[in-house]
Amino acid sequence: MSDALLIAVLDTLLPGDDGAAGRVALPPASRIVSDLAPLQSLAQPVLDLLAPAGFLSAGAATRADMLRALERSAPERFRSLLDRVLAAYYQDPAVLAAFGWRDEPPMPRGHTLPGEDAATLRLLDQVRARGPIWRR
Amino acid sequence: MATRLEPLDVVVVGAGIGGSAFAARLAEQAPKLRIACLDRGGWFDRRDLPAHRRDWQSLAMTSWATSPNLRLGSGASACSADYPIDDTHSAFKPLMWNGMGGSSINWAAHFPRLHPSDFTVRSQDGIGDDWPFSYFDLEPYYDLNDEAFGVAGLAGDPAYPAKRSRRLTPMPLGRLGQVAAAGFDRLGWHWWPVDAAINTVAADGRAACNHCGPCQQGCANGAKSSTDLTYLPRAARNGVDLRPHCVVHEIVVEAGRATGIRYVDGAGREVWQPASTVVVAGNGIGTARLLLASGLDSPALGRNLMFHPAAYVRGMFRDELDGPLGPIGCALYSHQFYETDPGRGFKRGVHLQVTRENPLLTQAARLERPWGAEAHRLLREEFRHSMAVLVLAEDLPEAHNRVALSDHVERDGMPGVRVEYRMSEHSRRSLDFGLDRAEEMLRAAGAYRTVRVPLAPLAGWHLLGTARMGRDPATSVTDGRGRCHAAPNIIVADGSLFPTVGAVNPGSTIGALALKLADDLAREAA
Repeated sequence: MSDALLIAVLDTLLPGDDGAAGRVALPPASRIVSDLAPLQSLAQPVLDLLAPAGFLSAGAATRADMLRALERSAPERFRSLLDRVLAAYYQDPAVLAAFGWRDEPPMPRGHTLPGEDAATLRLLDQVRARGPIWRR
Repeated sequence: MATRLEPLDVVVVGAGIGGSAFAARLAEQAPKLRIACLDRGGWFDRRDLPAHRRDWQSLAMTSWATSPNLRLGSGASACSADYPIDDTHSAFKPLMWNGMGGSSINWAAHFPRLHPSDFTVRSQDGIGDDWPFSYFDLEPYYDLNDEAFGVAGLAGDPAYPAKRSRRLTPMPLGRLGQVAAAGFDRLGWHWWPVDAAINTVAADGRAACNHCGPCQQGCANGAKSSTDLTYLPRAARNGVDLRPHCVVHEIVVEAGRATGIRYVDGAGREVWQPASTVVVAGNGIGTARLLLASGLDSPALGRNLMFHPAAYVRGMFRDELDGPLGPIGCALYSHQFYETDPGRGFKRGVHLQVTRENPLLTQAARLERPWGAEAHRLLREEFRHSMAVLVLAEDLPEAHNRVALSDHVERDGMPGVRVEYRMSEHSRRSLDFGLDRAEEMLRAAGAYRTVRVPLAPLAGWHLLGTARMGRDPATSVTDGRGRCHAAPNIIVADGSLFPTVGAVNPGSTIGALALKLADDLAREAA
């Protein structure tokens, strides 16, 4: 029951999407956070405040309402769990790929910023032409 | 029983921008002096930085966060020797780094100068205070400091008196910068590529920036200038004894003169270091904490804390932008509204800065409600399609904004420290004006939606004013040479000295000021 409840909470927090408009679909959180054990210590204080049967039998909108109520009544517990879930989710290779981001650290490759600024920098001629704007 | 060391001529407490610049310059100008420079933290190894790790995004919010309180709260240890700061009653949360290099380790390296009018706020606008010297007195030291840091930028900015040509070409604007420039241009407003203390080409034995992103978790290839790469090696070459992991507990003052410092070194030994002059450069909080803990009798000490009130607007664009790439402190800024205009309903002005964007996790976490189906939709819409315009306002000195000691002793053996800061109505008006202008620019650049963030609490980088310069010992802590009124052989050499703060990042001015003060001392020592 506890795992089912936690999975339901995770998928209410981050339900994923269907990747409409030709984009890669975002998976639900439970597909990303598949090892639930490390989450238990943060999740349990939140799960303790939910009625398991009621939550599990509710539809998506009602589940979200129940978590919003919990977010208001126990903000610190809720935020601790949420922060951990967000960190796991948005650093996952599948999620990064769905946002068009690469799955590797910033170093050593870095990134390329286009350096074709000549046309834009010519706009500064007008800034120069207006003369000094500082006060002595 | 404390270990007594051989006396020094000068001991510098704090190896950030101010302390490092001071020590390096003094050693060059007065080579006979025996000088040591201490810091409570250590050196760090660039191979260990988050940029090399897959979990770099979450490290940026925990053990490598910019806030010492967040780092301490994460339970993990970075190599910053942090102390907790009670910021419960402060609108802005202090950010810093406590180690060799100070906050230049995790700064954005945005490198503007103050304007000439920033030094004469009282004379020109009837508020705040004047500095004891002018922009033009400091200008040669700005130039020297630029040379030490290696500035990438573009000369000719009409918002400033002419500066020497920038040694390195500007950081690429990227798509984000180009779109922003077009927005400013449509409105006929001033804009200019930022001065950045970052190598855009290999220089000074350091690599060029490869736009990897997380500057504020330490620069992994050394392209970003920090004083562990610039002033501190220079200081060491000129004989300065660099001492990491030394937590200074007290400047001992007898009959109005400092006689030395007491500290605990990395081995846990208590040390007594006699010195003829003590230089303090621990930032606006650390400096005030040490001077207060040392019992310095100075009514303005710790007061007049200034941050630079900060807020921002994000604009969303249909076209893809490259916001999350490159150094966060770039790409460009506008000083169209920097100088006083009486018609605005407030004095002084605002700095508008188009910054690069945050990584995915940070962008997700900052959503008003970062969970639920709507969060996915919003993040899809924003990531790589957003631009942030940061608004910095000029903080004014107010005595009730202060750094104070608490009545308990921290783990580092020092009294605890708290920050009390209330943002003024004047600052609020300035920020609101700046936010309006930022929105106007974003719309002109093509944003179809904007999100206004009226206050950015985690923007407390600039810790200024708590040991301000001035003539009157009742309202200032030091004279114009940084010498404490209450003990003239204690010299402050950091942003604590600023009587007023303009509306721009202070790193460039802190470095220049420290060089000037070092020359003042060298002349006296000659």
